[in-house]
Amino acid sequence: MKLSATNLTKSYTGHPVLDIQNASFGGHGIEGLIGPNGAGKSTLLGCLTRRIQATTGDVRLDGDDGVPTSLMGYQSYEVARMGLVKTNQRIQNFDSLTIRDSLRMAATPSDKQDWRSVWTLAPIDDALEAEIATLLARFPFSDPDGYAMSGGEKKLLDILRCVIVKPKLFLMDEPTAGLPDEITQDVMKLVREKVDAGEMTVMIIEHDLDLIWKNCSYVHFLSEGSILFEGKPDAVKKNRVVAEKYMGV
Amino acid sequence: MAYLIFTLSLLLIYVGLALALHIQFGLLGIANFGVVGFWGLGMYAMGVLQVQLDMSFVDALFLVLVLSIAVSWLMGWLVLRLDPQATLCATIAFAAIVSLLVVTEKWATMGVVGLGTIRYPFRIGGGTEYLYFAFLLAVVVGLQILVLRLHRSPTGKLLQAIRDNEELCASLGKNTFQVKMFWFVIASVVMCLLGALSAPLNQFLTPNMIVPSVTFAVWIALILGGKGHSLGAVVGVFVTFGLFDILIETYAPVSPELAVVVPNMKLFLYGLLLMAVLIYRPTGLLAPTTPPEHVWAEIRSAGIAAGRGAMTLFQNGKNAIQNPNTNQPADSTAAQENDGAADGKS
Repeated sequence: MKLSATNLTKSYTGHPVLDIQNASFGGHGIEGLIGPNGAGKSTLLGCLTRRIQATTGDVRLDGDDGVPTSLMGYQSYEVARMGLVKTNQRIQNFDSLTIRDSLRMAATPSDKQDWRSVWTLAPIDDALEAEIATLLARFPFSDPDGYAMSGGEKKLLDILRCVIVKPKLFLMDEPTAGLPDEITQDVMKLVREKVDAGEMTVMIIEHDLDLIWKNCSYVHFLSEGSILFEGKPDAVKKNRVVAEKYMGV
Repeated sequence: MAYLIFTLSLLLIYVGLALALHIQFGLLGIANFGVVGFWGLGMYAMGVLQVQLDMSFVDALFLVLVLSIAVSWLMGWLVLRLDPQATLCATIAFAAIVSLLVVTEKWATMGVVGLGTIRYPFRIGGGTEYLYFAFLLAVVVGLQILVLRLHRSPTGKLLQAIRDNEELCASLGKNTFQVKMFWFVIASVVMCLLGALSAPLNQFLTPNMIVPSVTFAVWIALILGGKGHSLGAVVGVFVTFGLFDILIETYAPVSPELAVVVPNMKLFLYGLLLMAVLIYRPTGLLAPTTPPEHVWAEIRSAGIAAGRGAMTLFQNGKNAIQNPNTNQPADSTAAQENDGAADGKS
């Protein structure tokens, strides 16, 4: 699934924070989005997923049939149903749901979740239940049927909750922030499997550049609201602008 | 006795209102401070339709249903996008509008003169009040079952997720506004219909029935009982309304001089109890957990075992009466039955 943004801008009270002339995301397996703090990375992701209303411009989604659809008329939940799902930089959680219930809630399709389920009490189907069990067995939660307690567990749960809804273009906003190193490795392994199986493409925002160089096949460099450079990791590493503005060389 | 049945019926109405508020606030986090608005609207609509237009109970109830769906949907559309404080103010304003309209629209409501008499939907001599009480009991039990099942269903989990973090929920592809709207309307319509059912109970309607203290009583009951627990509403209403309005006001041996003080004391004690609960047990008397599946299974099998035990006792008793001399066969069946019961329990 590919996403293209044209003339996408966002200003807060007249102050521009984002100005993307022309860019496309999700065409290269795992992509990276890097840039200094305040460059507008999270704002860009917010505009792409329609959580933030862009000031001007257009975001188009290339469907499987090759016909682009403008996302501008859609709400964030509709965009998520189309397959555009984003993890959160800051910890977000459903505090009154257990870890397993939280995954079930996210995975259940909306027609199994409406008022009729009050009468049927329909359990989630076995395939999904098994998928959740596999996912939970793979990651070290202290108690999958208890609540997510630590920040790390909440962050991991946030990522898994997005994985379980089967995104087509998976946007990860700083997955390493708050996660222990070995769990980040496991998460990236899971993501890599899904990408290799052709289930999704990924874009990662990250300050941990080792993770970017190691996993991404294409990198966008965002600074002061615009994409100043993009290309293969090696090219980005060598680029003078990136080095000056970001790596402080 | 007639007065006791009246207050008990009123208690059921309060339980119903608290259950509806539990859906709105306990599960969805919508701060509806206009409970009395919906309740009063239903009650006065019922009164006007029956007294002024001489409609039958069933016809009037149907029209109240239609009206309440329209009003609740409009309210939901207006307030559900707002932040909680704004929702709270808007619903208070709604209740104020309803109570003002009742006073000003004299052509329909008779204003401060009062509107009456609203008859019971049926009349069977002295038993009418009791039958109506049984009817209300069935309605409220139905509501409680709905709430219990809602807690265990996938919908209930979705509602809790929306209350916890609506934006996160939307980002996972859930149409949160639609879900909130649906259950807000259902719960508000329930409040309106409970109002309609209160009309025959009160028989004579006056504007001073539609006062904020009804809203506060329901809120206090829900917070005391436990806003997140499926049984919090019932427990809360029994602890507040049941304890103070029925037990103390009606049955406590109070001298006439003190009787004047009791209603004020009631408010004072309500407040004291509420403060104590909020300080020492902020979740309410019942903590917001649903019994997990295995607890339900245990309750169920314990119920079955108890039922079987009772059957065995009954059989034994019958056998003992029928053949007073031969105890042997009765004992052997009892042993078998007990085995069966033990199996069921394990």
